[in-house]
Amino acid sequence: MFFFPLILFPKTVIEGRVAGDRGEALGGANVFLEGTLDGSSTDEKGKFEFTTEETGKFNLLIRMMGYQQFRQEVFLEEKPIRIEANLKEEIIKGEGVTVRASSFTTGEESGVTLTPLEVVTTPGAAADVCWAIKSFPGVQQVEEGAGLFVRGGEVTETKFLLDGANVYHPYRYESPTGGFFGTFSPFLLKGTYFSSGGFGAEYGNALSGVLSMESRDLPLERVIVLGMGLANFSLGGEIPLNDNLGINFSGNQSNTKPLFDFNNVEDDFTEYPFSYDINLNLAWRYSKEGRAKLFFFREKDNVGVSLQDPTWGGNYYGTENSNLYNLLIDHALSENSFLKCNISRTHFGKETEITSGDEYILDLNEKDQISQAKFILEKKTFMFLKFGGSLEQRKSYFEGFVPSEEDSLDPMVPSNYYDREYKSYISSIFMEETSFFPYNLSLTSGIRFNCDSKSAKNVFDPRFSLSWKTTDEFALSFATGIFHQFYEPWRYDPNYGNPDLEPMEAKHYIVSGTWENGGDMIRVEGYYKDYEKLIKEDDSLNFLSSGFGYARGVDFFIKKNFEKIEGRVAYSYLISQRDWQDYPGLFPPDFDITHNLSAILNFTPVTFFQLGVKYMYATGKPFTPKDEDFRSERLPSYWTLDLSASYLHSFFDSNLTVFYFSVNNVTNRNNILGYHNGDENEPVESSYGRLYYFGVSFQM
Amino acid sequence: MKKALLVMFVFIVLVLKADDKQTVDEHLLTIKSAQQEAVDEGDVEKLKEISSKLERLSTFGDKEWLVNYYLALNYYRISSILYDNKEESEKYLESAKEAVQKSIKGKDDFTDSHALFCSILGMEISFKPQLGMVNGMQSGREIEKAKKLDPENPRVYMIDGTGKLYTPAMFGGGIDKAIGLFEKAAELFMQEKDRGIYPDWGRDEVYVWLGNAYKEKKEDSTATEFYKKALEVNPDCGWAKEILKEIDQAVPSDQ
Repeated sequence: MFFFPLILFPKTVIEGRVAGDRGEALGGANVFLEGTLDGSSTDEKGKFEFTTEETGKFNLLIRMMGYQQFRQEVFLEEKPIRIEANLKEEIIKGEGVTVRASSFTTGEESGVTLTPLEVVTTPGAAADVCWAIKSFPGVQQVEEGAGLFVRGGEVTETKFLLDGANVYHPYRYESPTGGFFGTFSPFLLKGTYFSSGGFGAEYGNALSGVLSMESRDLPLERVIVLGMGLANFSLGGEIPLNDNLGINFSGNQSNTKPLFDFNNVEDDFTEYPFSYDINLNLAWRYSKEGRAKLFFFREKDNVGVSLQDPTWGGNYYGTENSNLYNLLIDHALSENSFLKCNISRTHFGKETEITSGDEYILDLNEKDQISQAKFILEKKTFMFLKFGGSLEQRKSYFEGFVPSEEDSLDPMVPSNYYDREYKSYISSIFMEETSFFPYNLSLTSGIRFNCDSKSAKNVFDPRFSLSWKTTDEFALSFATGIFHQFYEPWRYDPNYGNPDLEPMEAKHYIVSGTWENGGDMIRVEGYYKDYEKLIKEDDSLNFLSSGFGYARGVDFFIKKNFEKIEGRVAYSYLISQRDWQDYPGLFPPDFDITHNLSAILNFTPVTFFQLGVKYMYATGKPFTPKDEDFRSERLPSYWTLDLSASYLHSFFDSNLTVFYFSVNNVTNRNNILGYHNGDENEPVESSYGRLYYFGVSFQM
Repeated sequence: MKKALLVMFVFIVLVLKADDKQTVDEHLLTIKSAQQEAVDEGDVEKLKEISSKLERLSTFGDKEWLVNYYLALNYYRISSILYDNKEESEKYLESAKEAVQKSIKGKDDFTDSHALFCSILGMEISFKPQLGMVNGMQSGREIEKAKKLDPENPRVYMIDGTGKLYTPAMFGGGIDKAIGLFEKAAELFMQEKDRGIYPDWGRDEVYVWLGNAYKEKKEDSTATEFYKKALEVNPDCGWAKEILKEIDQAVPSDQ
């Protein structure tokens, strides 16, 4: 009789092994049949075995912390079943600044990632993404602005993207050294990824660095935030319309007059810097597998300054507007294949006027329109594969009067009238593959093909990176590759440029060691960059691609969390020389900043209060003293000490209010930014001394 | 005889199959008491087994939000026991956070999930103080929501009290405020009946918290009284036992 049950209940034995991506055994994984309690946990060798009385079709699930769920359909019919499962590691999106150990492997996982909050709590960063990025190694302090000069590279050599769309005008109040602020406020963003070199084949048309921003996702709950500060007013919010549809919106207005008045700053503004931006971001989860994001952004700014040249006086007025529309679709084709595509259009307009009395010295109207379509296909199996392509159309338009002598604003110099329109197409395809080998070695190889209609040149960019994780805490990496960047379309103009220009080229060689333990990390990176085909001015052909140069240096980064203090120190040593533009030979450019140090301490004594301190030091820029050798001297060193404090309070149910206060340049140091005509008696001084700022953000 | 055999066979089948026929509610009842027992014993291995069971139960397609609540609570308990092993503890806390968020997503008006979320956020701050700002904001929001949903839930006041205990008075916290909240929680616990499959833990812990608060106030004898009171409420309360043992061991060495 006792044999009845044994005979009557069918039993299926399920056994097997669970391993990680690289074959390592995973102990403690939960293996079970979906919808039942039948299952077991794996032992330290990753092995498991259990029996079930269920019959028919079932899903076998394997779950483990830090790994993606594994699912396989099994048919239970009393025959033993063997499962060999490889779990993929989950990419953990930490709240802290993460500098990935697996540097230079794949785009999203290398470099620095910053959350909006980290941008806002970086002292002295004025809640600006670019300013916050400048506190990381590999970015040199060249001007008091947002411009990202990366490892001996010029400011235009850093490429900006938003949700995959190319952003050619990433700065507000544009200047030859970038601009004063980044175009996009951190509050529009979910996260920001920055790479200072050796980036993957996914990114093209950039010689030195990549800053890729991602906009906010589907909102989970309704939040309205009202912000008010000495120089800004903002309203933003997140509104879920239903489980699968939501809107993020924001509007910001910035007016610097009260800020300068409050701080008694003696300034030369004829019109105080004023800007506004609006953003609407519609997020839609159209199915379990896919989501779409429609992003609209508009920004406008203007500024007027009185120009005080020793020989003449005048006024500058500039106004800019940027518009960006982007549709992003992110779709999972299967459990391990993903398709990401976007279509975008950007419009940029700029009007610049320089007057002296009633005379117009410069009166220029510029427009830039970019339309782009792009796709990336990803497959993650035992190896990672990425394949993608893009097509971009760029139309640039210039109209107006420009002084006939470059770099001269003297009213006596006659002006030329220009009315030019340029159209160019850039197409690209890339492929990248990452393989994993025993001993925690991984190799990424990629190739990128770019074609530019204006120069009619095709370029191939091969890129490689090797990463070796020697222990759980230490990783070594090596990356190398060729990087090309096309000139702006007007440089190919037969009259004002040279149609035979070749694309600029850089070769990167990077070696890096990273030690990481919990939230603490130390990273040392050495690099050498070889530049070729840089722009060189020429009397008969306007420009040649015969410029060249190099940059070499070492970056150090230390991040340590104590109980209530978070500290990070970034130091960069750089030697860079170029023979380009009008240089008479190989000389250090403006962005050859030998020592660059940034130290930040954030102290959180209690939940509701945070205090931040930042010290920034940079060697002075090279310059040519009056009547002396070319670039034979350096400006005095640049340094500032900044403080910030924030206090949090809840006035009523579901309200959160943040009061913030900051002091930039606490010591009131008068930094020298240059000399008029190289004359040390006529310094160009920093636009501000000690600057107090305060504001409040009210969330409901 | 044949009939008798058949009846017996059916009986055996029913008995052996009984486990499978258990509903999610029945499983939850068993798990709930096993969880309390494992917490009392401070037994991480048992808690890990319970996590596996809850994970499986979460695929039954019934009361997933409640299963995820218990899963979050389970991970939170493991994280608390392993607190000195920062790396491990953080790992479990992360899982707890994920599970409680799933629970809230599944049922937004369940008071205990919001209260637990507040606890998890608070513990996260102890590991990463730089998260104080964000988590502080969110935990405040969660506890307020919990209070609004069920002003009679004792765990809400107990959890609010633990937050206040370690927040200085100038920032809206303080020992006396915490004591007030613990006392209110203790009072509400006395009125709380057995809630079946729903959470009703904490009636002993609230006295341990009162003890801790008085210890912070340097009123050691009152603190000891409360630790003893915790044991009266639950003679198996491992936390209270451990503290009392430490106090007992400290006394002779002081003399």
